[in-house]
Amino acid sequence: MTNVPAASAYRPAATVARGCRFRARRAAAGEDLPRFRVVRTASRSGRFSRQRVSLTRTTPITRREETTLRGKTATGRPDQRTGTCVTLAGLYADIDDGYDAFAIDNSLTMRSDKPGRDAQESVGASLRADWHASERVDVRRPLRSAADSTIDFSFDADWGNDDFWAPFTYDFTTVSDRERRTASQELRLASGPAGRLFGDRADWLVGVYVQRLEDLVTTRNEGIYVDPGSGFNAVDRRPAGQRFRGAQHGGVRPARHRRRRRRTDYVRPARRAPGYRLHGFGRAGARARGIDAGRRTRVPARVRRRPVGLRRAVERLQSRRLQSRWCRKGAASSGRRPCGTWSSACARRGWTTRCC
Amino acid sequence: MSRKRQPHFAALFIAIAFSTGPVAADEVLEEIIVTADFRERRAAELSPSVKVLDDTAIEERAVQHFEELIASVPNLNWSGDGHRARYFQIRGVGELEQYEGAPNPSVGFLIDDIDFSGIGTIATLFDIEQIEVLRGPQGTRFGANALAGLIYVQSREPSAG
Repeated sequence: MTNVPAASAYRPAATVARGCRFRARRAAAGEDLPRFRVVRTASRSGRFSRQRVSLTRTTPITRREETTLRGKTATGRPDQRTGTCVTLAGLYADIDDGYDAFAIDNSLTMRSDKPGRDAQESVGASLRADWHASERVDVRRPLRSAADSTIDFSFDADWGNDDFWAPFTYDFTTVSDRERRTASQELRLASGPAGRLFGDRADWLVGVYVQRLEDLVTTRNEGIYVDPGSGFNAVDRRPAGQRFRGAQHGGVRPARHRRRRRRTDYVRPARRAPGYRLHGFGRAGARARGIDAGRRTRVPARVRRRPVGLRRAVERLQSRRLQSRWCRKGAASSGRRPCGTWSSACARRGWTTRCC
Repeated sequence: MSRKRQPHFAALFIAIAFSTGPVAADEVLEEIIVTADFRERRAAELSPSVKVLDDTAIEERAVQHFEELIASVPNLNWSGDGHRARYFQIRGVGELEQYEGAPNPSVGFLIDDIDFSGIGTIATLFDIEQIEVLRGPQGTRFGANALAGLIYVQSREPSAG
């Protein structure tokens, strides 16, 4: 907020603040010395962090470090309409904030192994010079500014670690690196006190503004998601009967009866982590249908479609792991569980053909 | 009793009315000068809708970042990727979080005439003199980079001594 004369005495073309934005009461009387102002501010926080696993406690996830350095120097006599007023401003800012304190199981214990950051480091400068060329024309704000910024943004997309997600494999991170550079040039010619138009009733201004902007964003979504844990076994029981009456008895009028019952047991791997619950996003895998049910139910006979492409490869991998699990369980029990196809994985584990 | 009090109240009302008149005529209202436009002008002379936050407003609220002041600016909102506000929206127009950049940001954001449009994370408020929020297109001033509006931040000027 600037102190200026009362509204009745105010005239925009004659204010001392015009051009340099300097205040007359701040100018040194009779001297024209450069003025400087340098400011640095820093903020540190991060003592609060949730209990974490899979990371050392010396690196809080919510640590925030913010540093700002500003400098400005100015010369000229802003209280007079003579000479040139030059202002050079510089800025350096380093914002490095942690924020990714999200617990996947809605508890106070974080499972994230690659917590994200929200950071921006910028350096910029601007130069402006206001030149009162004459009583008719002011060269205002021949301004040049440039800035270079580096922005990092990342987060742990699975918000867990390997032990937490086992036996699933779910490790995903998103990292966005951004470089942004700007440079601008501006020139304005404005009317002075004697240069107003239409009988001293209107100011005029012409100018040009050019800006160059370079923005480069590199986003990496890296990770793997393997869901080995679903399948089902089905047993169909279809007792049927039919009573025939021959043609000699007046035509074919068969009476049939058929009863069908299908029992399906969905297989879901046991979680090693306690307190496990199925989460919604975990159903996005290729075997999501098996996970979704997880209980005895009736399903249509043709429940599976033949997978193709990448999905087929993934299901082959999952099927192999599933068979291995069955084999292990079958060997420990009485062998009543269905056995899968014998594979090289079974051989490496030393399991017998009786199981596999 | 009530009839006796009537002349007394009337005299008091007349005295207050005449005593406040001359004082009001001598007051000089402090004017707000907006520098984000082509010319430094009084806020009342500007054509766009403008909100000016000075150093007093910043100190009174004891805030650290510009995002903490946005609630006092009508029709200005912010969004961010993680911790701090990075993108601004004026009158509902502007980028949202995880925005990966475009040639022309909708809301211009300048700190000491340095363009930081679309990357407002560094808007800390220490030693800031004035913040001007201009609502509406500022195309003649900044081209397509201020379609929705402009946020103009000035740090304190160096003093003579």
